[in-house]
Amino acid sequence: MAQLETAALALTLLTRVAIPQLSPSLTEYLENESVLFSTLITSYKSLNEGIFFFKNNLNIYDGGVVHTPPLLIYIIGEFFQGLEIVLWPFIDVIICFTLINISKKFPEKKLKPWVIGFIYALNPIGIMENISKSWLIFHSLFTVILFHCSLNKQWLAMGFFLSLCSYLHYQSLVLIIPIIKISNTINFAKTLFVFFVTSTVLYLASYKLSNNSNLFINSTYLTSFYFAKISPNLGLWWYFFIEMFEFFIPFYTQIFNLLQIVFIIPLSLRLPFQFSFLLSVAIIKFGNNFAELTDLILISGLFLTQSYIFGHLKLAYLGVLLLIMAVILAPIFYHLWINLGSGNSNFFYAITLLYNLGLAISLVDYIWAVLQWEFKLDTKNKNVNKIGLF
Amino acid sequence: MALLEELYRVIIKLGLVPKIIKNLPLLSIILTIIGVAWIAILPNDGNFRQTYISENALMPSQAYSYFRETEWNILRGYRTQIMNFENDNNNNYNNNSDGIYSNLKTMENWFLDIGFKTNIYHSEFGNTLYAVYHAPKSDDTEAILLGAAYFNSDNEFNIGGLSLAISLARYFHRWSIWSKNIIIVIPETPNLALRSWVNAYHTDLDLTAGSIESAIMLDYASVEDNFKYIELYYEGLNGQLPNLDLINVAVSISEHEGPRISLHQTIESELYINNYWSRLRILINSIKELSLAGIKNGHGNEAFSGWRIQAITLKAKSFGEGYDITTFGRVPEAIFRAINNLLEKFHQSFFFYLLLGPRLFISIGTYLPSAGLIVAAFIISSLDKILNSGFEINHLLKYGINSFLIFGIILLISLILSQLLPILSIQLNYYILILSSIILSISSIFIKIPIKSEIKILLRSLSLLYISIILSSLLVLNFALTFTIALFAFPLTFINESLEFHQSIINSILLIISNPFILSLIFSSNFDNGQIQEFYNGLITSWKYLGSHTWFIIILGWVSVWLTIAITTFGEDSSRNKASEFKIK
Repeated sequence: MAQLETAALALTLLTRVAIPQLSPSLTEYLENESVLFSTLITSYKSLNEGIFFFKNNLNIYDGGVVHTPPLLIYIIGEFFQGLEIVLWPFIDVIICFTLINISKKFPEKKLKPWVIGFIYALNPIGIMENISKSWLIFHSLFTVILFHCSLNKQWLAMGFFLSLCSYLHYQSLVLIIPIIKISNTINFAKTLFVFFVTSTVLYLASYKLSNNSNLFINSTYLTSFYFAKISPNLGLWWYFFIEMFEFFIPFYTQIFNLLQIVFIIPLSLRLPFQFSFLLSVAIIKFGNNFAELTDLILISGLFLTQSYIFGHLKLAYLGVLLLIMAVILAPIFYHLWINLGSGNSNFFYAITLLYNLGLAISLVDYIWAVLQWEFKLDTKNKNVNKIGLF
Repeated sequence: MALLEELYRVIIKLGLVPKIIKNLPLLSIILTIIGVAWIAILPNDGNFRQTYISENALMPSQAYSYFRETEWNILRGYRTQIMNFENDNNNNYNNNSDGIYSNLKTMENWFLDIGFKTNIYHSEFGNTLYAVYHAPKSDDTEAILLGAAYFNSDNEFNIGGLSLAISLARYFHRWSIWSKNIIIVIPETPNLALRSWVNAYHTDLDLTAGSIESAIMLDYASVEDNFKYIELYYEGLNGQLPNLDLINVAVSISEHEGPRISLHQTIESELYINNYWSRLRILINSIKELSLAGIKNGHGNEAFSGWRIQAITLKAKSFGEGYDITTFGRVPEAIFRAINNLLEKFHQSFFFYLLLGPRLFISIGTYLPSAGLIVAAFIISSLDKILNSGFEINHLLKYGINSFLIFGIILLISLILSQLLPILSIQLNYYILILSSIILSISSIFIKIPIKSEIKILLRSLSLLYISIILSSLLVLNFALTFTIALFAFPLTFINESLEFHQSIINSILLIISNPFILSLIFSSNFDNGQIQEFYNGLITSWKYLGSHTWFIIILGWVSVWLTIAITTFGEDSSRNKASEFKIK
């Protein structure tokens, strides 16, 4: 088994390193033009722009084109310049490794860990997403590690990775809610302490890096929060921010931001930790203001680790088919709109609706499956009061 | 969700699932028949609509057109000069390009005299003369293009077109009303030379005039002063069409001036007929021409595809009597005046439509289901191959990775073929392709190789699913091509286990009638020379130089599936004897 797991990891590395070498045109397309695999916030192009500004001692956020957190720019620009073609595949290997380890935590596993590794390694969307070099993959990495740490009850590490997650993607802050569920006061205090210390360090470092100014907050988090530079993406919301609906924009801003967190408390109250964590991640990503396929890879990777639920899924085929259809049609409809001009924004928005419908159906179906699984477990062991793992 | 639940219960209660599964092949055939019948129903009253000008700013024919008798004299003057070119063309027939180049130079001087800025663009496919008039009142960001190819698509000398283009240029230059720049283009041929000019215009030419809003190509290949009607060409590459408003404007202006518009080679005597059969003929022709766009010799409007330019070609037909040549000049004049009024790009009217007549159209929502149903039929027969195979799905899944690998290798082979074949000599490899296709189809009757039944089933199902995915993603991009491929590849769904001799023969026949190379024998009869290599040549050059995706889709989407299914017919499961295999069925 261990060999197969190593093989999966090797395959992850191989596919992600070799395919860009074999087909440079695909790499160029994915890095620069693809609307599905990165957004204006997370694109490799904008990251490079930031690195260029940084290297030339210019203020990174002056031009208004960079929305990358300053530390990421600093680390990649200083230490990994020229190593990008290895760095991104390597991150994917760590994610794959962590996912395999997470799936081992659950005694009731259905898919063998190495199968999960292979699925992650050979998923064509995952490969393309990696080639596109969206920096959101770092957020995926920290989220997966955070999940792993919380399953292992490593309270200090949890605080650290939660801080890193929220630094890259502020919405991830709400992941603290499912974490409260599994911790008592003392443990939570530990986590919270590390979280605050790390966050302060990150903030101070960012402040220092952006020439002693708070400009980076405006360019990274607030741009996202206020939908300030919204552009077409896979998410649900960009369509609402076109000129026509200008009057309602403050309303939309509040509602759409609220929607990202409003489901998380009830879900965390009701469901066992592993599911509430997964669903929290999925809901944050579902209501994301800048959605991309990196999100889908993260969600599906985390869901795969809970494969014992799959037997209870009822609409899995429908959800998966919708997602596949949307992923195939979205670039075509985008091409019709942007390049050929014969389609219009409604074409692309219709497909993003299809994509989000697929995602929503999968989520709802997943919650249903969790409840079914709980019920079966409940009736099987009448004497067990506590449901689930934690 | 509750609704789905409810539906699910009803279906279970009625026991519909096993019944449907048993009848999947029938369902697939029925869907295809409905899909084809749908096209036949479209020309009935009530399914199509009258065209209308959607963009109010256009106001076609609202201004009086002045391109009349005075200009006729100038036109005749230019024409007399251009007639000398023809002698030139004939004299230097062996050294044609030099002769043409010097003529382009002469015409360049005329444009310079009028007051245009000019340039000659050289490419490996021929030279292109173009002249730009930067309209004084315009903001210099948009342009309207008028073109006339030196030789038209039938390789005739475009005398009338050239003289019209130059005299119109002279005439336009005197007006002060233009809010958009004017570009006059004279390519050597309306296909590759023009296409390379259009690409160069958007990438590396120095003399430009902003984004081209629309392009009108003129084709008047005669010295005669009179013509009877106008043929309109509008189909672009890769299933693209110009905005319907441009066609509406052209039709309404032309019929306002007098000449009738003919679509898809409608002959003169049928121009006034508007009944079911005439509409059906135009519809079927338009599907045929749209799927062959780029492969056939283009008329000039194809060359503008992909750059957001609305382009049409006007071709004068039936010379000798009827309307005079200035009428043919007044049509582009009035179209120019209409487009000149536009404040925005063409966006109001339809981009996806099929025409049933110059003033009759069907919009996308009405015609799309026909191809959609055939594509759905592929999905259903793909399901049928698995569900009615006699094997448990879990048992089949064990062979999943093997069959995925085999299919992947075939896809890779097709990808290599698609890149390799265009490099080889055209005539030679065309006959080889047809021959090898026939041999592959027939030899399965005599030769068998051991392949497990499970793998055969999975390969068939997988390849049908694959073609349905390809076709459904092509559906909106290129309806005509999708419909044609779906229709002609459909016999592939009937190929089944060949347990008996007659089934083997049926399989071979099905393979033959669904092979793109063999089918092209029928298609090529439609071409001007009726030559097979002409078709193949068009297919490859359009892919290499025009940017048309037809070749790629045919090889990667159709041939790969055909190849996979052809290979499955060779298979014989040696682990089971025929009797037991029969029992499974």
